[in-house]
Amino acid sequence: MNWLRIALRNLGRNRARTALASSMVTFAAGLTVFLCGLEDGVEASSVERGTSLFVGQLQVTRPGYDDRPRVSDTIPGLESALKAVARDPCVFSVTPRIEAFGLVFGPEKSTGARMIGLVVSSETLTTTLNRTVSEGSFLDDRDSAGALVGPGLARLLEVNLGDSLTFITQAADGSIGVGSFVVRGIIKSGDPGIDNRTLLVTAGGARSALSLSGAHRLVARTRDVSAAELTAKRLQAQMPGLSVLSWETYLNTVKIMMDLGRAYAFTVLLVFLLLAVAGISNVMIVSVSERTREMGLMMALGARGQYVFLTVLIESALIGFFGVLVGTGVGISLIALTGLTGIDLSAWSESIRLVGWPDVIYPRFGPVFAQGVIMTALASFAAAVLSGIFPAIGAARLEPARAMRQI
Amino acid sequence: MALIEIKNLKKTYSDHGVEAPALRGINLEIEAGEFTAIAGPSGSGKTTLLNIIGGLDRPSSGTVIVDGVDLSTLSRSALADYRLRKVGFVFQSYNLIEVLTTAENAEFVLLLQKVPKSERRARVYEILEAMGMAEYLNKRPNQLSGGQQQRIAVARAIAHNPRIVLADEPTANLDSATAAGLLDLMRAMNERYGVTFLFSTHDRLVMEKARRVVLLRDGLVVEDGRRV
Repeated sequence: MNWLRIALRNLGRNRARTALASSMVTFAAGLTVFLCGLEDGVEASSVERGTSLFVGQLQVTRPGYDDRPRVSDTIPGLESALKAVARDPCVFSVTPRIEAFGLVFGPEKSTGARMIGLVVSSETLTTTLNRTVSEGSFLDDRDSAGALVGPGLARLLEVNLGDSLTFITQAADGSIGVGSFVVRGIIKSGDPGIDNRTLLVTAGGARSALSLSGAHRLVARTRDVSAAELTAKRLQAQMPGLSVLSWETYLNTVKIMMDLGRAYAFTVLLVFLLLAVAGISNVMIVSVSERTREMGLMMALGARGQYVFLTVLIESALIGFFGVLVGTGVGISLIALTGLTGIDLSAWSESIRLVGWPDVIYPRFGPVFAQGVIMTALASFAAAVLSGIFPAIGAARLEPARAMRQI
Repeated sequence: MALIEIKNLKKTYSDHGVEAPALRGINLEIEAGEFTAIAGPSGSGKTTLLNIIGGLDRPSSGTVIVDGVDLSTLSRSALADYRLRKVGFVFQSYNLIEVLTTAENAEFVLLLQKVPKSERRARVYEILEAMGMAEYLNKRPNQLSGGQQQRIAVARAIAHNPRIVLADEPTANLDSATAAGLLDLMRAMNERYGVTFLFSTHDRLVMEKARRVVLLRDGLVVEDGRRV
């Protein structure tokens, strides 16, 4: 016989009450663990949506290029930079881009636009631009005259499939750069910057127009969006002469939404824990008051206050332990289950799109879960133990003779 | 020197400004090995006297010296230790811990004393066997009769070889035959292990089993009769 066994048997006296107290911890831990998985799912989906279309999860440029983009500021040592990025185990694919701002002319109209030259073979592995074609076809590396426009730009220039376009800007060598293209496709990406102000061409077509051989930007897709920042830091160390940024830097709004989501998840955890503390405290106070005589007897027989204190504390710790165990199991199972089936929120798609959530969320075991499951387990257990402290102190302070007179 | 020396012991309870004297000046000596009844009607101060000797309550004035130790000098934790080492208790009711078996209840004080398990079990088995209770080792209190529960309480009270066993109306909830049986058992344990027994009662049958009867009335000793 030991104190743990006594505590276990005490918990067995009123199993319904013990189950009720433990279920409060189970509920708090389970729901919070699940929320962490849900947040991981939302984050992965938001980042995926935000990065996969065009901007990618990693970008490499010459330092300062984004503050003041100049046609001549191409990446030095392009081939070795491409190899270094592609070699990183966290990188799935990388593609170079050539960029320039200038004037684009249709048969009748003209407007300011940016021209982006793509290497189609690697671009299709890195982004989903090729899936946004609504009319005609996507670019082909062998067709250096091919161009894509969005519906906005097509309307401004009054062009359709097969129409000719001319792009004029300052070339890398200072001369006037001119590119002649034919509209091969119309893309509908949903991104106003792309649909209204961008002319997509092949890398060959862009280089020819700009009289350059390199590229201004490398865009990469990582195997795990949450590892992008670390990968960027690692690559930056390898390529000190270049600027390597992850989506966390250049897709600031997504990052802010994620931080808000995490703050929300941890606020929920806090509220649930407070509810659990109140519930367990209540149960323990009732349990201790019912046993006042027995505790008085123990102390009359020579048990010190600290032993009685410990017995009550062990009981609440056991409630917490089982609650955390079951709750974490339930939370993990829910994540695994809904991770497969997805949670369809399309009925509220109007509202949830406003906060950047996808129509179907697939909860997953990501960084929020990894951090949250440990924090939840520790916090729930600590909350359960804390809940027992007040009643335990009350029990330890009992005067044995007086306690034994109580009914 | 007597095992218990009580000099001019007074105890007054006060409740919301109303004072109720329970003991008005008790002088008493109990020798080691005695089997003594503290008798008297309800409210005569029997339980208060036993509680003070047992270190469960403190006197308002006077001294209680047990085994050479003045109880008024002991701190709360030293009193707990005194109860643990030198006193065995048998109470009127709610005597056993509900979640523990017969054997675990009997060895509870030894557990508090951190006596090794094998030693605890051997000691408890010896006593329960001597009481004819060995077959109930693994029963829970709610599976035992009132008389059997009190026997287990006696076993617990003597298991750790205390200097005194204090029993507060141990037979109050028992029928007369069971009460007589319990008293015979206590006396047998008193003779077998040489433990001093001090018990309170207002039952004439119980008094007849005692070797010495100290009669209290209104917080004072009014008669002190010894028998052989």
